[in-house]
Amino acid sequence: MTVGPTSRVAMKRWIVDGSDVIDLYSKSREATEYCRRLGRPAVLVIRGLVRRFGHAATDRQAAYLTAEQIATAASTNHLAGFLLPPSQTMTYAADTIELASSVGVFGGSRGILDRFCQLKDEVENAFNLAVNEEKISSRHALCQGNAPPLAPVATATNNYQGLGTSLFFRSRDEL
Amino acid sequence: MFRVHKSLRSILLWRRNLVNLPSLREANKLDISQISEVKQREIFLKSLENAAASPPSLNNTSIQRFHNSGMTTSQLQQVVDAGMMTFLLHVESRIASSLGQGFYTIGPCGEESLSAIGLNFKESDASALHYRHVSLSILRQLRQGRTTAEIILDRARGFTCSTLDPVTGGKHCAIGGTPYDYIVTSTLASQACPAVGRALSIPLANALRNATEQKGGSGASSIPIKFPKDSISIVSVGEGSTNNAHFLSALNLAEYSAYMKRKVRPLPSPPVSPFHLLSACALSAQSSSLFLTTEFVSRFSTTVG
Repeated sequence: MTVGPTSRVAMKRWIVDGSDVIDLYSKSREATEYCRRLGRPAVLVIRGLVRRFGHAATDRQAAYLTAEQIATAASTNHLAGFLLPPSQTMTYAADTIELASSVGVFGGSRGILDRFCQLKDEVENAFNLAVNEEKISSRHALCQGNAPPLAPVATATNNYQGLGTSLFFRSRDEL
Repeated sequence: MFRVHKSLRSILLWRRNLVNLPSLREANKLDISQISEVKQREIFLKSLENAAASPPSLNNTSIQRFHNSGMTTSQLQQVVDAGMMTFLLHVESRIASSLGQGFYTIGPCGEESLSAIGLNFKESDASALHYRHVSLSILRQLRQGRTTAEIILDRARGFTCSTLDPVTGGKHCAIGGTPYDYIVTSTLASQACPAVGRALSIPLANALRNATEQKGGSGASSIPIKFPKDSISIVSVGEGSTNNAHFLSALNLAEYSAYMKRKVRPLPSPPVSPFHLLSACALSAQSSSLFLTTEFVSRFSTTVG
């Protein structure tokens, strides 16, 4: 959780640097072990987490941020902070692992590059496929997926010829 | 008159309506290149190419810190995978949206490193993650043996509202996909209270089964319990939600439950029949749901341990 004021939280809490992979791993391990061992609640406060781009594609960031703030946020890449040497990174927080290639992730820098390109292709192929798959196109289909089937409704019909009453069970879908 | 079979006619009409996304991307290349996320992706790619061309020098302090943390290289590899997948999926969702083919674009990047938290979760931990924890959700699925292609396709289906999206079936774009994930949409903190309820239910369900077994109830061991005794319930919210009443209520309930657990003295053995336990639960619910939860759990906490 990202919590602003932490003083209101009475339970045990850990504060972690959102840009530091090692800090995130270590402190979250302590927090989860605490919860698991003692059965008590805890809070993990993640600080320094950057929102790189607009909240959504419709977000008009220029309405409440300066151009400099928008550019700085966009260029802050914590992913690069532990994949690239300091001289080749954009703005990133200090004290991260700096170089995943130094410890052999994907066999080094070339392997990381190849992996990135491979994942990029997989993402594009996935979207190429997904855009042509069926979408929900009727209210009926939407309701069917959102709620259980309606119970049948008993309706009474009168026979005006005086021969009595008949009962018909009808589903609300027919109404 | 040549008559086209009904099913063939449907196929022909369907094929006429197919979207050729690669062609759309090519036709709108210039506009797409102006999208902020696409620009940053190209900058990042260029940086990776430069690093591959001239491998960086070692930093012993950082490497030592990595080894001291206990994280393994394979775990870091999963973190890197999840982070890169998160970023690339987000960029492609913005491209699809600009072309009129994507319908969900919340998830602004910057949170790619959070996948490292997922290394400490068990598969059976209940999780309700909000939209800025895509990398964490991806890592959970990677640890369960799913391939990157499978995970990426599921997310793409969510962004394009395909009915084949395993999480919401085309109605939304939410994080999930495992039996232990609880869907969080664009809601603000309302996921917090049910998460506390799940946390309280874990020892309760296990205690109910234990009590039945002690009484010698037949088939007690066959009673299915979704969460093992050592499971935890995880929920995430954004900074804005920390002033939301749902979140504050959840915090209050969690803190009060922990407080009552410490304060309650050992009680006599509870009713051994699950039926009696559930009846007691139903009766006290009429007075106060808050006390119900804390008192009931604290009773079992002292007897079951």
